Amino acid sequence: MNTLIAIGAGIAVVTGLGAGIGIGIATGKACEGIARQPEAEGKIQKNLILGCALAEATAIYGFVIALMIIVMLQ
Amino acid sequence: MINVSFWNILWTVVNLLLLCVAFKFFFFKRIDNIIVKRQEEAKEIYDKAEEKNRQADEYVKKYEDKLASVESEKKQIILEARKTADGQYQKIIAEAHEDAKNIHENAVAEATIEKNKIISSAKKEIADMVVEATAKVIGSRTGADIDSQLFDDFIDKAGE
Amino acid sequence: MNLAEELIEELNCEAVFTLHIGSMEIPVMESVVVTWIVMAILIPLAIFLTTGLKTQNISKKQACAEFIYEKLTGIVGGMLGEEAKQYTGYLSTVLLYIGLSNIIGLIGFKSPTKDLNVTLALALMSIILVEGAGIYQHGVRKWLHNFTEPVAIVTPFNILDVFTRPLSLCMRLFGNVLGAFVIMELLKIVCPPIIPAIFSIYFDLFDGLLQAYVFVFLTSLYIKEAVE
Repeated sequence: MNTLIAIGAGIAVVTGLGAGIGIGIATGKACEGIARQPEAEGKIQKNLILGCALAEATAIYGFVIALMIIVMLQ
Repeated sequence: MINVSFWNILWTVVNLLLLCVAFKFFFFKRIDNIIVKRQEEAKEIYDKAEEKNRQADEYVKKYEDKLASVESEKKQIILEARKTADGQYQKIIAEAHEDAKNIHENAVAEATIEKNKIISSAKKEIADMVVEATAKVIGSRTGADIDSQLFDDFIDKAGE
Repeated sequence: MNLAEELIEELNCEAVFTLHIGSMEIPVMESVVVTWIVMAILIPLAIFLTTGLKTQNISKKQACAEFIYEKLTGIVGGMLGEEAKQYTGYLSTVLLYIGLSNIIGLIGFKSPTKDLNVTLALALMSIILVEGAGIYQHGVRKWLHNFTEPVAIVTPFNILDVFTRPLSLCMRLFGNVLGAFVIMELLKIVCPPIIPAIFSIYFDLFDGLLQAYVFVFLTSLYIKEAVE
């Protein structure tokens, strides 16, 4: 049983993949933007942080689900 | 942590509303009021300044107008003075002309009178001389002699 | 298993005491008590900052209060836009509350936002505010009609939005705070004290304030969308 719970929690945390890819792409684009328009750095940075916080949410959902699996099924 | 409890949610909602109301009354409203008050004060001061500015502008305009009117008045006065002076000058000149003419006329008239007087006195003298001569001739001689003598005398007298 | 039990012990929110009103038993949880502590910090601070306000020759205290006021209303009002300006007060309060709740873990209290019930309550209030703003702005008919926009076929999704939005808000905040907490606990157990201190700046301070900002940002985004 414990093994299955661990596997389930591990699978739930795979959602982090999407967040990682998304934040990576966003950061890359932000760097391009800053390279093209260095004067807009402040605005780009602000939006990037906000976007990252939003994109991170999917990873957080996975984490919460994994935690719930561990806590509730034990 | 994950069990949902109704009371906990209610407590949180009540707490949050309490906090919100407290902040509304103690923080936002107070600062809002003070900012509004300050804006009013600033507006008042600004209005006053504006009013003063307007007044100053008015005064400047008034004085400028006055100055301009003074200038034009001056011109007017000078013009008038010039005109009157011109008139005076013309009058004086005319008077002088008149005087000169009068004097001239008088002089001519006097000269004429004098001449006439002289002529008349000369005539009188001549007549006297003729009478005298005649008397002389008549007294001393008779006939042709008298005539020629008279004639010579007359000639002599006239030649003088 | 010792570590896991310790972690669960930390995560669980116990009832501190129970109020008895008549036959009802009202439990008061730890998170509620910490919320009271947060309130006990914020309200006296607000009163202290805003006493003796003057219009001229302002003191440093008042300058500070006005700076905070300008910043808060600037940030929240800018996100809300012109049409939804009247909700600035509530959202600013929420921003302060979540921000302080998230970083109060630094001085030893359990963050109230680590309790699912608190974030659920926040999210419920947010969605009530969003829909209420929509009804207030447009009236019930127009508000109902807005569910069929832009085409009729998306109506189920729009109705689903009413439930997924607060759920997403609630889970985002809860998960972030919980995740940061778990990672910090693991770091504290695994590493000597200097490394957790550095990470604490990111996880507790930066992430906590960022999540408060994100929560308010999303709520104001929904309100803006609702009143348009």
